Amino acid sequence: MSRPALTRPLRSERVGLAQTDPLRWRLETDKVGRFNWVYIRDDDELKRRPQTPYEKHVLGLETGLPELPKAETPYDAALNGLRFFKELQLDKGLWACRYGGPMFLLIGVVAAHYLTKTPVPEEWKIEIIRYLTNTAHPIDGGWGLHSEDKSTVFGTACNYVVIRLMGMSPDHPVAVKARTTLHKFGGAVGCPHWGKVFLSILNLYEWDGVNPVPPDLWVLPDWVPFHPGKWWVHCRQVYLPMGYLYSEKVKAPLDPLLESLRSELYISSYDLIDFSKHRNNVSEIDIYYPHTKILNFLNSAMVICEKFLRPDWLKKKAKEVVVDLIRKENQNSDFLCVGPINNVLNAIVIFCEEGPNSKSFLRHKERFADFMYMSEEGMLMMGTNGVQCWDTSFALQTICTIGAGDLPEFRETVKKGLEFLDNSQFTENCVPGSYRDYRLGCWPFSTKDQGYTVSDCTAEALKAVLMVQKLPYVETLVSGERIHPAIDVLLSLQNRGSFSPGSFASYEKIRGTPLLELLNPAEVFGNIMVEYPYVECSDSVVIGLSYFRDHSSYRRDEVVQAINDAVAYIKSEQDINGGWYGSWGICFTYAAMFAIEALSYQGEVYANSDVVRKGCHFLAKRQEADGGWGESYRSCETLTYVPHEQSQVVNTAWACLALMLAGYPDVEVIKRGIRLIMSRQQPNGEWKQEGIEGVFNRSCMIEYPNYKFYFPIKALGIFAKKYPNVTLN
Amino acid sequence: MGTKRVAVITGANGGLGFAIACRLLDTIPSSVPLTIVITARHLRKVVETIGRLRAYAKGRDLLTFDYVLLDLTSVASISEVSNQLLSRYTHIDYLFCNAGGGDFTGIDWPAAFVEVLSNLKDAVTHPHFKVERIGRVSRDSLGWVFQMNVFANYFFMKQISTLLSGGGRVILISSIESRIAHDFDPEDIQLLHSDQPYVDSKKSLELLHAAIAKRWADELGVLIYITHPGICQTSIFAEYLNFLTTFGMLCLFYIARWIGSPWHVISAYKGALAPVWAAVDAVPEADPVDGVTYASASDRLGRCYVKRTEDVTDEDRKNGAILLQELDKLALNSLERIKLETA
Repeated sequence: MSRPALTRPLRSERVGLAQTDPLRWRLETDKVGRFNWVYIRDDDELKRRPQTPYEKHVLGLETGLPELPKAETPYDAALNGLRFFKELQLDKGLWACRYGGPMFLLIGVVAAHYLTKTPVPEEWKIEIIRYLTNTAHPIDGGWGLHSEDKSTVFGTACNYVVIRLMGMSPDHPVAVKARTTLHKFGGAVGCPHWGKVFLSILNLYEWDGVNPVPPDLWVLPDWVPFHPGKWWVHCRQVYLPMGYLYSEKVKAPLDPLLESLRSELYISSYDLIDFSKHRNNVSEIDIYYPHTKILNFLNSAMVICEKFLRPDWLKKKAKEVVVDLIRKENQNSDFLCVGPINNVLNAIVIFCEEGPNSKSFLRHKERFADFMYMSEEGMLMMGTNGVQCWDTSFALQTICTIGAGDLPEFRETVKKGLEFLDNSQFTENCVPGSYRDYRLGCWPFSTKDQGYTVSDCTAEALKAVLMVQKLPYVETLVSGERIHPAIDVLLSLQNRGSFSPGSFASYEKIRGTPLLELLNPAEVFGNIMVEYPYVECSDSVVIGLSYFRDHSSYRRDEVVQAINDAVAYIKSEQDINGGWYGSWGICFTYAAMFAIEALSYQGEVYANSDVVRKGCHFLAKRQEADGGWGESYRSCETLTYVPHEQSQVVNTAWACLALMLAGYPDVEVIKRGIRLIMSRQQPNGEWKQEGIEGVFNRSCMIEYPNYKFYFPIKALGIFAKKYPNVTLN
Repeated sequence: MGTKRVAVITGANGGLGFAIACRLLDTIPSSVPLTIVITARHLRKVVETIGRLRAYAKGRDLLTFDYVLLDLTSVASISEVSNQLLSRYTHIDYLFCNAGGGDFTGIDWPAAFVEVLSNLKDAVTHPHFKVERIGRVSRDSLGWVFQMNVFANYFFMKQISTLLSGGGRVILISSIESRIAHDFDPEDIQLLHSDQPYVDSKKSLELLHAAIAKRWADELGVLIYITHPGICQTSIFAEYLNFLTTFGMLCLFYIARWIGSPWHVISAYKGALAPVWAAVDAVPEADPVDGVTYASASDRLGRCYVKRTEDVTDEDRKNGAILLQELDKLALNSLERIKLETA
């Protein structure tokens, strides 16, 4: 289960693993925030390009940033934090982010390289092995679904294959330990669906032991209620190429290394395993969302249909439709795709369809690097190609909110940040026929190239842009006309009719019934089949629209109506104890901050709103003895507030922000939280990494390392503004 | 507001474990902040159980849930879970060692008929016709049933004893069936040769209690109670019964109750009475800590009460001491092995 914090020396050092020279790594970026870690071998070039404080920071080197005068007041502490944080800004105006956590991604990129015979750079191999060694479970040596998880068959089988394909010997103690654990679990036959797919692609498992991923569904008319076009975008974009690979039974040619792996992954001889019997064999340790009986029935029916009833023309037609949609996804996202899984799967499909030297495949090859991130623990694969716009939006909002935007020392930071957001706004829509909504004028979660907006990302970026452009010295880069299309899209994203009216989902409006969850085949994730309404997304949109409402009269009535409807939804989602379940951050403290901020924009505060009062009491009751708040990732899994082992700076900041925005009357409670945040600040203004901050699909945790900077800074700054005369002691 | 209480319930997803949690919620006033730590082997069961308990506790404000994934048949798992609890909590008020199980293979039907017909009350109280597998060995190379029902509980208590010390209570769950256990065999402490390891393991648990209860009370301030839930319908044997036989069993249970068996409490909720009462309400001064068993019992009308029995003999204490010696040795070995494995 939860791994201890990074301890020195790292395990990779203790077991004597090779390591690249951290002084040679550089993070390259372009004006829309692409991430590429490059390893510089040439000594002259190395001298020409000194490492930035960010690079040093993320590689675990001394940043060399100065010790700041000791902060006596929350305001000074906020500024010290900001002084450190602004040094981490990249020259293109954005903040970079190591977006690690999920432990089932590396297998994808490694499989894609292996199958397409694309060489993996040597320094990647070394650092991937190092990362997996450092994140292996300290006791059993396996891996889980995410970096704080217990070991599972999925994590252990996939990452075992990764370290072996990256060159680790099967006799290395790290490999031996992981393999022992895998065997204790009964071997790789107990892998959940996605694991089985990856192993099959690598010819380490047989396709007839994989539950069907019928590409044929795409041939159905669009009005069919379970048409994949109605699924949640991550789900449909993953099962799209998976359907192709399943249908075509794509697999890497067997070679001695794979032969050897076949004998390492299972407890019985590979040839003796009847894989078709293991379609539904999923280790109990792995299961978060079990198959329904309907799904099991449909799977069996599909296996039979596929063998005996499926006409060739249907198979061909399905393939055509799927390949066409994959090309469109590549085109709309400049080969980045919505996430790292469909990124690598699409690459394999394109390799199969167009060959190794096709223009498309070459572009795919260039894009693999965008997901690979270098850190002090080694090289990891990220959950998206970054968090560029999301982080930059909050950073800019924080600077403005606490009044630091006026200070000369932060002006350059603000201007550069705005330039980045200016460059990141979408300037064109998706190609027709790709089952995508309008995006013109919106902002992405990560980068403009990637091309996906999320409702809250557009709203928060919009707010950031408007806030920054109010500063007297800032030139208006994003004009009113450029904001309007973003408002249009936001309004169009609001759910209406039968699916949680008033709410906002993530990437798209809810298109299909939640009953489709009955067909969720992934086993390890909950709530993936369709879009769901999210409190935080709705909150952010309310916040963004409210801010816009106070600045512009564009579509005023509709904006006001949208806000009112969303507010009604937010209130309805509060649970009986006063908490809101957070779907993207850990967990109730996160959602409370967003919900209460959204309500505060409507003038609903502690003094006049039952909902806000209940929300405040929920938080106040959960304050720890040391004055902080700490929430475990187990909150997300169990849908109930589970305290963390220790108070967390990030949770404390969220709770304090919620209470302050609500006008919570007991200032003592807030003061104690603020004191905790200050006590954890380092002499150079930074806060050290604590527990993991984010989550998706309820069960998979993901890192948001910048949260520990801008949210504490914001909390300290707002405290200083709101309670100028309150002393802390 | 009272001080915060923490309860750990092993196997809280099962019938009795879940009932203990419910009963605890009903017994501890809602003004007292309560944390219930669920242990189960798999996350899915944890999520399910917490969901059900939340529904049961609807609206209770000062209630927190947590979980640890615990496999009683693995000392490494117990050790890891103990470390997690040590890092998360400063004290544990109640530890319900509820999880356990047997390696049953089915029912000896002819024997069952004979028993039911010749002495119904005994037949449905401590039956001889449940067939157990002999000699199952765990991954840790210990007697599987012995490890799960006896050693695991002891090892777990020991590992988290600092959390329990100074007022914590441990509730061991035995079974009425221990009355038909074989005599303690010092040559087969791990019950590898027993033809009824489940039944015998419950007896061993009672011996263990007799051996440690006083010392733990005096030296650590930890009260260990041995309780049994009476006869209730739980999942432990369910897979060998179908709809009809389940119904038949229920009928027999009610008949047994009507003809005067105090042990047929039948529902798991009633069965949870004695364990929860011992944890929350038992007055330590009332009885010698190592001499009594508290059991859930029921009168003919189904009104349940706690029945106190004193049947610990000097022989039991002597055997308990032998067992304890062996358990301490196993604990030491286990710790050494874990240390080696994690090095």
